[in-house]
Amino acid sequence: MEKEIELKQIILATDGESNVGADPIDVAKDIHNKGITISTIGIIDNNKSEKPLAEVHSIAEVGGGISEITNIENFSRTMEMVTQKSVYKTIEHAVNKELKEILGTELKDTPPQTRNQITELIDKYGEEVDLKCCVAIDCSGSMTNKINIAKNSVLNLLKVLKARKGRAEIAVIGYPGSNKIKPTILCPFTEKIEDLERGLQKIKTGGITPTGDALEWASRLLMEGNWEEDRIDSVTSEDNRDTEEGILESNII
Amino acid sequence: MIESIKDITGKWNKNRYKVIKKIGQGGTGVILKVKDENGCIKAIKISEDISSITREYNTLKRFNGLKGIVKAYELDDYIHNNKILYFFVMEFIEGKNLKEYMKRSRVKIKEILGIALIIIKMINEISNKGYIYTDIKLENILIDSKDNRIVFIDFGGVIEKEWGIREYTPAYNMISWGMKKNYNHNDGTVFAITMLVISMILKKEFNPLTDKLQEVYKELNRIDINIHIKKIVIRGLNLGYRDTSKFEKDIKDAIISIKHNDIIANDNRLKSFNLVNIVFFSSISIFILTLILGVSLT
Repeated sequence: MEKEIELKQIILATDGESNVGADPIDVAKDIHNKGITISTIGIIDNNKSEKPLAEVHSIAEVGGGISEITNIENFSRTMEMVTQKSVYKTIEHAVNKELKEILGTELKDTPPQTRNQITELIDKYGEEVDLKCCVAIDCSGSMTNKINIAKNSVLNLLKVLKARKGRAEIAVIGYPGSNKIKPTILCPFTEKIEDLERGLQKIKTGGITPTGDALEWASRLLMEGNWEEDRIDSVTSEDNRDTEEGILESNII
Repeated sequence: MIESIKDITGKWNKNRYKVIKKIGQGGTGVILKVKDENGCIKAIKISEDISSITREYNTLKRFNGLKGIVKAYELDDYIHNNKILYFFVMEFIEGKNLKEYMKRSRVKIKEILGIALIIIKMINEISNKGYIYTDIKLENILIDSKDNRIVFIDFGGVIEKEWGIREYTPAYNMISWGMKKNYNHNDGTVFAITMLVISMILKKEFNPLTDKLQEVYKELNRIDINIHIKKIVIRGLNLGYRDTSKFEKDIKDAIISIKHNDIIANDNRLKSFNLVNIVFFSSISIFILTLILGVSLT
């Protein structure tokens, strides 16, 4: 558990099941073997009683991560929670492995009064470890009216992670890419809110749900840094949204 | 699964608790109302997550003795259907959380500001011990009707001062509202308390993913509240306070000014009452006079 360790994780956000391409469960298993944690968020509609997103749970299970189901209103909070929880889960797992090697016991076998020291250690690592997090967003047709909230949620995630002691980098890929199974890199790994904001504006919705392939590419991005050939760099028009500060004071009194 | 538990016996300490009912569900666990072997009513937080239960218990332990913080008693494991669950026992608080309180009763503005002052005081006490309470929200603050005090519950999100936030609620979180400024705990705390005050004044919680901050301002403009209070909450929302001390002072001043206004209002009422009296009595005397005149004329 050296401090230079960097935690790599994929956060998959989807509102449906994979319907084309590679089997996501098989892919997730392979990715997890490379030391990457996959966590998943299933987005459901409030008014529709959809069938539970079983695939979402299975992917996280074989991916060593956390899975949560949420409505789009709570998506932001859920994504942040899933990311943090999976960090702690990964560290806890590693600590437990060490404990087993050194002491022959796991955290749960030690008396509650002594657990404190170990959980404090987990906490400290969780706060200080560097994070590399690839968010894979389902941009298929059914996501159209949820995509704006999803965008803001990814931004909020980076803002929250930036307040940690350790470094945090986020990349975002959208799947499917333009008319292909291969996803689009919306934003390569960055620590900067501005980069992320610019990248997220490229999101377009429509098409199918090749979840397995999206995971595959997300892991390549995590391991190899980038894949250039598919990038669209034609973002020129930056939305100049006015911020709340300033104008509001005159608004009210 | 946890819902089906009727009895909890600790694996290590062997204490037994009879489950009365489920009283809450947090992000990390379920809260149960229980009775211990002596017949005392207590509360238990139980979960599959060993770290978060251990962490929260130890955090609570650190603050045991502070008036506004729920007391923690013991930490133990419980094996349910071959699965280990982790729990800690704490004091059961008889009362309503601020959300229920706000809905049920008419809360006066002076009372809301008073609650804000107590919250600031408690946040400062926690901060003096080197910790930050990040998940400020209506549901996490109880009014203890038995002991007449305000109590913070849910210490899962309490972190060391120099750490980043872990648990929060978007409605009270400056990041969720899209503030451009980088997050820091001082701004975050003042913002959260400001939002809490606004929620209580407007009897409504906002959602940053569907509402804009402008909506909040609009709604504040629509109602008739003291100008001092309006100024304070706007400054709070604009992250215009560097820390809680000036914020606290402004709230105190606002309370004093409300009291002052009350006195003036009472004075005016008294004066107008006198005026009415004068008019009333003089009109009667004129009436009687004309009567006398009339009689004498005929």
